[in-house]
Amino acid sequence: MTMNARLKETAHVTGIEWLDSENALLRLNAPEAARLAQPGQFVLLAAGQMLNRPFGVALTDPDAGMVTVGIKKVGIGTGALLDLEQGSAIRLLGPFGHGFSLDNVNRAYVIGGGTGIFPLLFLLHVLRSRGVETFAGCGFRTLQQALLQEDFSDVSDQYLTACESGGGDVSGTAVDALDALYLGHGRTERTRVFACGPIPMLRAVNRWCETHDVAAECSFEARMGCGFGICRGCAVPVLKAGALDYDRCCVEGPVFDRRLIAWEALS
Amino acid sequence: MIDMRVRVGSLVFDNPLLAASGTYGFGREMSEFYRLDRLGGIVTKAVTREPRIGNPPHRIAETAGGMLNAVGLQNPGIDSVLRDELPWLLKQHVPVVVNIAGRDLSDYVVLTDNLVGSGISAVELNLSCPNVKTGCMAIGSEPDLIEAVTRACKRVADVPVWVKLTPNVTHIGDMAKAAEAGGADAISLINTLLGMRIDIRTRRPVIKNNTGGYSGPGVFPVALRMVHECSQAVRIPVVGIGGIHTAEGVIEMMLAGASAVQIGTANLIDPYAMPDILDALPGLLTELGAEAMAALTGAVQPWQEGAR
Ligand SMILES: Cc1cc2nc3c(=O)[nH]c(=O)nc-3n(C[C@H](O)[C@H](O)[C@H](O)COP(=O)(O)OP(=O)(O)OC[C@H]3O[C@@H](n4cnc5c(N)ncnc54)[C@H](O)[C@@H]3O)c2cc1C
Ligand SMILES: Cc1cc2nc3c(=O)[nH]c(=O)nc-3n(C[C@H](O)[C@H](O)[C@H](O)COP(=O)(O)O)c2cc1C
Ligand code: FES
Repeated sequence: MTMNARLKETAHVTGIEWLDSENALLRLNAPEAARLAQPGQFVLLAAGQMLNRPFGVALTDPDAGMVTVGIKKVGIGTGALLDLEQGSAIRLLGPFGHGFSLDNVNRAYVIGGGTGIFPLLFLLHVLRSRGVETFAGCGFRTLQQALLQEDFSDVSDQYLTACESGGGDVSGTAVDALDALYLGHGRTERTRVFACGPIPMLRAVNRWCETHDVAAECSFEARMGCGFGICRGCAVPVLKAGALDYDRCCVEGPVFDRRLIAWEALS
Repeated sequence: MIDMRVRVGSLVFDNPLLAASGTYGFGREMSEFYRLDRLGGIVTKAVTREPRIGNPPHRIAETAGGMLNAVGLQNPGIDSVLRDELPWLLKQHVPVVVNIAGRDLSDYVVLTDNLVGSGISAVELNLSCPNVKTGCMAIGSEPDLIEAVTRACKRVADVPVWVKLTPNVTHIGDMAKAAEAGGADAISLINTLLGMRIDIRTRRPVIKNNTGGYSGPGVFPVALRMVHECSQAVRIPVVGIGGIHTAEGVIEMMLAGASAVQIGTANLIDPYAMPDILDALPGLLTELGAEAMAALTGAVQPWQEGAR
């Protein structure tokens, strides 16, 4: 694992781009984080509440010093962040965490659901720039809720939207999109699934990967206290030598090898 | 030049700010933000005899004025701490206090014994964690048990023994007296206040342990009152903990009777909280006309009954 950079900077809001009534891209000028962030890592934003809020880095532009995060408005903290005016200064800590591993892969299946789709955009950009074949699928309940379809298409060799209520490229969940993509493109010896989304989706991805014997890295969201390793609040159940243990989502995670996760202990 | 040094019994600290147990790990992660030798001292995460995996998640809930936690003493156990954590931490040129937690008296004695000769500055007996089923707060709510555990640990310790008290009792002064009677070199307080949050949609407690310990700025007035009460009840030094997030909070805690303070939740919210407070203290002391930090201890002048 690479050492985390331990950073605090004052970020400035350069814009908020609403994607629908609940989801938006928050664009921040934060040069240090832009320079350091790796796909799968997150930043902590001070939301005027007690605890900082973690968000996966959705895009960076190191030359322009820009970091973008995708935010779904779900409560007071996310609401406050999306109410910020252009030019507002906020405290940003990070980037933190153990991101996706980019080595030893030449074909990537990138699967997302919920707010998990945002950090996958960054991952796809970087995989692409490294010459990895990228096949992406995102799951939404309805087609109206689908987000960033064009952005995903732009950085994928093939992209599929799955909708449970029909109308997407695939009817069903993100895992049905994975299945369809895999049927079309199959595997190399260096094929890996990258997944980020709600726990039921990750669980289904893990089961699919078990059946097809494919490696996968899953990114988790845990309630955090600090976000940088000192409180042990962000427990993710893992198996160590067959026994249950808890790793820190903010240090050992948020991205974990699927084989490390204690799936039965996950709720 | 303001003299920031403080004394807790036989120990002298360069400044009164110690990191509180459980909110600083074993220092490694924090050393990537700033040099640890800036601090007065560091109290480690609670250490138990055996490795503990802690409680299932969620372990954290936010609340007005602070947070609840039920981490459940997750730690790698004393052998691993002695082998993998302390040698590194002791090289950082900052006094180290090890917080120990057990299920019964013999656990505390064994842990204290294991730490003999390790080079630490003090042992802090955690008789106050509210998030485990046996030991800790169960011991810390009974004066007889506090006294017995303290006495037994004092017998084997080669460094000062601090007793960390829980606020979840009716008469905190009695607990302080019990620790003093057992021979404690200092008491530290408060640990977290037992609390609860419920998710109104699922009708389930937010924290899987159902209850958790409340910490953060909201607990400050309770902590302050208890530190004041204990400092009146005993002659041994008191280390003040609870809800300190500012330089002003440090001064208030010292005035209430603390000889030094510990900073907890503030570290979680801003990793630079302690250096920022340290930077603000000299100016504030100058403004208050104080020349030495230590002179503030217990300098509050309570109103007398019937005073006008
Ligand atoms: C590693 C990581 C990456 C994340 N990336 C994104 C992202 O890219 N986009 C996005 O929209 N959201 C993301 N989240 C979830 C986001 O952090 C929460 O939605 C947010 O903290 C909610 O804050 P609130 O004040 O609006 O909600 P409230 O419900 O008011 O928050 C109360 C408390 O619960 C915590 N909390 C609530 N929901 C979550 C959740 N799903 N995960 C973790 N903590 C939660 C809050 O941090 C806070 O401590 C991520 C979470 C983690 C752990
Ligand atoms: C996440 C967390 C973990 C804690 N773990 C311990 C612990 O292991 N041992 C202990 O004695 N106190 C523990 N505490 C209590 C703190 O050391 C401190 O007494 C309490 O939080 C009050 O101070 P504060 O308001 O500054 O945080 C913990 C507190 C928090 C928030
Ligand atoms: S949130 Fe504090 S250790 Fe991960």
